[in-house]
Amino acid sequence: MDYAKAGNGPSRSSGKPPFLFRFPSLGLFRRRRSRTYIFPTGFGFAFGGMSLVLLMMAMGYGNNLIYLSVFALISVAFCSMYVTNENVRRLDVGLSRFGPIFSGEDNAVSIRVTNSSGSDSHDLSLSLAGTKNQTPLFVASSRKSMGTPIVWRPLRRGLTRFPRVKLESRFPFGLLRSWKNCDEQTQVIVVPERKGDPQFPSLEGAGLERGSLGLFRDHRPFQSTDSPRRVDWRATAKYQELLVKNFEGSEKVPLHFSWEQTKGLSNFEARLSQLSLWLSRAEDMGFSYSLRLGTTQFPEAQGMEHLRQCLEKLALAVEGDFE
Amino acid sequence: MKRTFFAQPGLVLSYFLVLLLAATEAPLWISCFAAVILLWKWLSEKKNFPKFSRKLTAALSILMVAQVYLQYRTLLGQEASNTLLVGLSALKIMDYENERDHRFLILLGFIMVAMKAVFSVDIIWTLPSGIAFAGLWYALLNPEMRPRLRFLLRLFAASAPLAILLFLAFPRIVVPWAISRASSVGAVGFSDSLSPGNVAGLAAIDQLAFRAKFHHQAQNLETLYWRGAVLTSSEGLQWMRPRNQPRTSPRLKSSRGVRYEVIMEPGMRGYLFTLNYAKSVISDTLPFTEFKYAVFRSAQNLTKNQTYQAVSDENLFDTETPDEELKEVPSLPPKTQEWVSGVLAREKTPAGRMKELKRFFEDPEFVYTMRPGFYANNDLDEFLFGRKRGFCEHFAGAYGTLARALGLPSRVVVGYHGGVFNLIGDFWRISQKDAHAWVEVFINDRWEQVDPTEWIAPLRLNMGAERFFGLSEQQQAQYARTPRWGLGGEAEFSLTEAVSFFVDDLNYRWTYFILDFDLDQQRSFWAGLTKDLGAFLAIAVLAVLVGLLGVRRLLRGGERRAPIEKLMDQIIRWGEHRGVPYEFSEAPLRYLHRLAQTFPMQAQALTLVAQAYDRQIYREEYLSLEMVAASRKLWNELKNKKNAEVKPRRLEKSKN
Repeated sequence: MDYAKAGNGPSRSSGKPPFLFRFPSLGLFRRRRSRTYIFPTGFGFAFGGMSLVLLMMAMGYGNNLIYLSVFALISVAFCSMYVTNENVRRLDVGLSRFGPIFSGEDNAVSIRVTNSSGSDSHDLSLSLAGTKNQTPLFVASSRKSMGTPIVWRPLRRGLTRFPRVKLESRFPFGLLRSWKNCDEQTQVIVVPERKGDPQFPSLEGAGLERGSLGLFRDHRPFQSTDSPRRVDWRATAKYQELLVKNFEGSEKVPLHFSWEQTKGLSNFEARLSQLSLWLSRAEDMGFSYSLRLGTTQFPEAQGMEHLRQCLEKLALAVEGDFE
Repeated sequence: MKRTFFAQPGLVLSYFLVLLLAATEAPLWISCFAAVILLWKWLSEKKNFPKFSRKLTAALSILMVAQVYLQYRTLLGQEASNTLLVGLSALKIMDYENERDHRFLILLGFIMVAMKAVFSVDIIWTLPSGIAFAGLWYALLNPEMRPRLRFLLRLFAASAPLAILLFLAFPRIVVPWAISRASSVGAVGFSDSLSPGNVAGLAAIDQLAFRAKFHHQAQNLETLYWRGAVLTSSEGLQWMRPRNQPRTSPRLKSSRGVRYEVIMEPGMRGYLFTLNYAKSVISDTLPFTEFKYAVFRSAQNLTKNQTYQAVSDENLFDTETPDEELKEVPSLPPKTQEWVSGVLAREKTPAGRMKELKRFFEDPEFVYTMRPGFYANNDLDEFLFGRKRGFCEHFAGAYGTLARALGLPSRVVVGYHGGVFNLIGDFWRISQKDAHAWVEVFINDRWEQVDPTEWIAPLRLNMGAERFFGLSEQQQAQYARTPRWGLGGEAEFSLTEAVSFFVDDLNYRWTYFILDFDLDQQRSFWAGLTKDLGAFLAIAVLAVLVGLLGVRRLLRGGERRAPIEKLMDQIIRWGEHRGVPYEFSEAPLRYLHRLAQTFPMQAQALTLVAQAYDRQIYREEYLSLEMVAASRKLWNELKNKKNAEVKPRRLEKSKN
């Protein structure tokens, strides 16, 4: 059997997802569904008003055919209420695993919508409480689970409660709006905003130079974050394009970051932001790196788990911790 | 979201229909205006014509409202409202560009569908109204949803029981704000006078006047004189009705009588038509007054279908002594006066004078025609001694005046004669073509009916107006005096007539059902239903349960499940019974694998099912029914085999 293809449900064998804590320790995808709410929309109220006017008209004229029209209208609207409610009720909403969340930046957070029923759910949208961000309308197909990205911009670092996720739909006619809130009491570690000088500190900058001593692989176009010293002027002249040399990764020398390297910055938060930027860049560029924060030492390593540990330390730091 | 009107098939179809329905009741200018606006909108969306600005449509709206006010002197009457709705919806279509406009138009559309019912409950309009109704709902669905129509039909099916229940159970309260049904526009029927040409003009209109259904007794066409207005004041050929005088004489008593029910069409002037001699008229919905000379009349013209029941006894006669008004003779022109003087000198008895009158009208030179030419109100000489061409009203008017001149009190009655009997529905259909006028003369101490048309065109009375006026003018002239011409042999009905009868019968039943369900009917319906309370409650509870389950199923089962998925559902249930439930969000193939490990006796079948499921659901390959059947067969064979030792194993849960 080809089990690789069978993964249409969210993985349940994961360990602790990076950057995600939950209190209390409920399952990430709870079987107990949260309550579904339903309320008429503005259009629904207008429809109700119109039905009332038509009912008055039917009574005034004593006209059974108008009565029939009004009752047909009301019945369809009433049945649509059930559909609207059911469209949202049958879904489960939960957070997916996601990468580091930086404060002051737009982070794409994946919300998992699971439809374990036999019917599709239509015209859904997700939003976060306290924000105006809303996803475009989407369909949750029957017996499928899907991740839908939504933008979240936390304003401060540290342990932050993830905003309530609201799943909403006005299906089928827009007369009623039904929604459910996914409020899992999830605490998320928001790491410091990436801000400061993108250049690695001078000592480690030498490491970059040494990195260039590795085996040459190919050229690539210059990017704004590249040091001008990496430009291969000869190749640039030949191809009429700013090119830098790419070297085999294994040849990259490790970077060593420390709290002292940011002492030029007076503000505590600015120092955290600077380190956050360097760490994140180093991970992106494929360097291995270490971090020393006062007495705390994160030995040289690479990968998301290492980055998570480093950034978490920065995220939860209190002024004076690293002196 | 930006919207384009002509990209919405549901909305376009619905609006095409509702505007068409409304246009049948609206003046021509507003229909033309709406058509031009729609054409312009189409050109602006499809051919990049400049579209109207919102300011321009607002200005046009104001002009249109002003015009409607000028025309109707109100904005609230049903005709004015209908005209406004047509114009405003056309202008709204011109403005149409976003979600808000879309929803506004849909609400307006629902109002227009209901508005049609104010004018007519004819079954012919229910089909387009129903399509428009469905189209408006369809237009509210997200255009990207698939399949929209099937979803909508299921929703309608689920809604139907509730709509029917509401219709049957909602109390038909007569409200204090009942809207005035007064209408002076488009009223058809008899006015307060009979001028030469009135009835002929009415008979030229091919329009249903009313339907009548008799209880148990079959009727002959010749005897069906539907009495409406009674005119008492003669001016020669013209007759006028008396001022409203409520009935003063005591009601005649009789145990016998013909019972019948009449359904009047909207647009009729307010006379209630009865056969001679109406003992009683009852209506729950139509307020009316009984006047002198057995005339029944509602205060206003009818703007919707109305029903009433009546009982008539042909053996009863009005014996009320004629007052002076019924004896007044107008000044007669010379030739008429000369003829009257001659008869008065020759005949001294009322019976003799009646015979003279009959003999006079039996003159073969008299011609019965719908186009006799113009006569002035007192043109008796020209009619009786000159042209000699007339319609029933001329003969009745002249006869009545001559009778009075001969000392016989008389009055002219206008109404309908005959009708077409619908064999399928067992009812009479009386149209404007059947409009007729005849005379009542006071003789032998009672009022007796005299119809001069009987001597001039008996065929019209025997054949019915529908068929008589279907003949060519030459045939009418040639055979009018041949009473049984064309009536011999068995009645044969063509396919067209049969279809016509069927449609008319359907329409009758529909109209009857829609009209008749008033407060009393409602009470008796529920009283009949709840006679046996225990049985009723049991049935009601059962019906509600079945209804709710049915509705739930209709609304939930929005997807068509593949046979392999149904088999998968069976296996999941099987597994759950044996302590291996399907874990939430677990991949089906993983579950099958887990089952196969737990239940080795079924492993072979489960592996086959997994392969089929994988191919059809994940690889989206075409899977023949035989393959599904093979895996189902193997599963059915193996599913009941006992496993040595079953240790249900649950899926390992993540440890957070």
